[in-house]
Amino acid sequence: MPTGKHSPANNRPGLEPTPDSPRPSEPDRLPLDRLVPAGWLLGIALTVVSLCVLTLTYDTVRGVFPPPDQAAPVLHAIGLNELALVPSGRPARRPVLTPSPIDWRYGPVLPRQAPEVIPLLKTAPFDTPRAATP
Amino acid sequence: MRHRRYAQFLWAGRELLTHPGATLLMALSMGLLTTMMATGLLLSQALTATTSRLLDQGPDLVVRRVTPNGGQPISSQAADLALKIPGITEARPRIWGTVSTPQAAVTVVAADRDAIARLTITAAIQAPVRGEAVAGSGVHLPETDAHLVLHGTDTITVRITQRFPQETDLATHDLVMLHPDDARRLLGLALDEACDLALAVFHPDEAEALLPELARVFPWPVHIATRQETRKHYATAFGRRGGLAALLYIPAVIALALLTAAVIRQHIGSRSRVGLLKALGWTSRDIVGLQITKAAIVGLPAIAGGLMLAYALVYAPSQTWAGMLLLGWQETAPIMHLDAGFAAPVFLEVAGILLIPYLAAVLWSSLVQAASNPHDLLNRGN
Repeated sequence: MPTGKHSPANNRPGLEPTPDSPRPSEPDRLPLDRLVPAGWLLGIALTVVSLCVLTLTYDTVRGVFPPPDQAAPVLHAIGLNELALVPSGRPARRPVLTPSPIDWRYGPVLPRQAPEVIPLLKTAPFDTPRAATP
Repeated sequence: MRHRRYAQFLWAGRELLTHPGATLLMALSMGLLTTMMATGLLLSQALTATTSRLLDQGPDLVVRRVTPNGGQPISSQAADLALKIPGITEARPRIWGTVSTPQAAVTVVAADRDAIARLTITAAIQAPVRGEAVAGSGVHLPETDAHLVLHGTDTITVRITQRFPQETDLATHDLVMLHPDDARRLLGLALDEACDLALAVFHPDEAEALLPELARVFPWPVHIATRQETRKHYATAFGRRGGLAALLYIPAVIALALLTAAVIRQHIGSRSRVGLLKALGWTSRDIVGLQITKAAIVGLPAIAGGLMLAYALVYAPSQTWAGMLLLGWQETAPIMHLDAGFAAPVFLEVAGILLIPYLAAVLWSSLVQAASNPHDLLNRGN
């Protein structure tokens, strides 16, 4: 026998509600008026806050008792005073001027090294300024 | 009393679930805002502390010969000159520099006797012979070949026979360690020459006091870099990037203001419901308690979740996003093993910044409602 929402059984006149008949209740739509889901919501909230407190505790313990570190002894062994935080070749990588055969010029037309004063004076085609005539 | 309080929590949860979409959106917004603010603060603190700790393992002073044209190699005998000064306990001529490969620039360093003795113990690295090299995890090789071409003053080809462990990425990610003869050839140094001199001093705090004496002992002009300068260099670099990241706070503050306004508006919208509760016998204290509980059920887990997400982003075991996004790495970035122990102040700071205006807004609007006449609330709400 069909029992769906649009089944013919539901269209029988005997099932029509009358003004005097009691109002049909709303079963299963709002179980306990949403108090059970509210309990779940509280549970989730408490769990998340507890996990955050656990994270803090873990961080504190890790700060007090740090795990063995391999980078520090290796840095001590190779004797460098720079870290691989920035790629090699970038100015930010170099705490002090790095001895490097890499060309650091900003433009290709710039001289490779700062010119010395004497050769510059000898080779430059300076015009001797004339004395101003009255 | 305890049951009453539990009932109040349940009732607050029930009221929040009457608008689940708005509740979820509010929690998500607060969580993301928290993550954004906490990640920057945590990362900058962890990077500064880790850098400082690692640099403590490097040399106290670095002496470099300078001329008007730039740096010049020094003779290996310069170490003997430095050791004449009382207070200097170790002088180590270093052969190192930056050279290019077909893929990217790398830092090369010669495997001197001291380095190998220490590396064998700490990382089980064997000394590379001529033509071989030890490379960091970020040094790329052609797929079919283990040979690496290095272009410096001269071009050499070396075979990568060992890799530094990934746990040492912060020091060795794009580092290539060569036999000293290969390194000299690559960097254009003669047999007894080195790039600079790394010094260790007996009292690291007093290293700066030795600078004038050190400058006098060498027969050529020198530039001496201290560890403090190196630290300052990194602190400045992080500070500059941190300043840029702080620009993110502007939209974050606007978002916080909007959230607070949304909370106030939500409370104003629920006037008739509050009026009904008061008419049913709820006291002003109950009303304020209910609203604060509602705010806490949304705000506390949202902020806690955001803080945990920020912590996971910064301290995840294979975290490389910071290098990619902030430090300029492209195809590969070092795995950041950062120092922990800074979460508590950052968590408190961020939670305070977000919770105080949020709870203040809730408290103010609740007090206004609690002080109102239920009749007015019902009338105005309708």
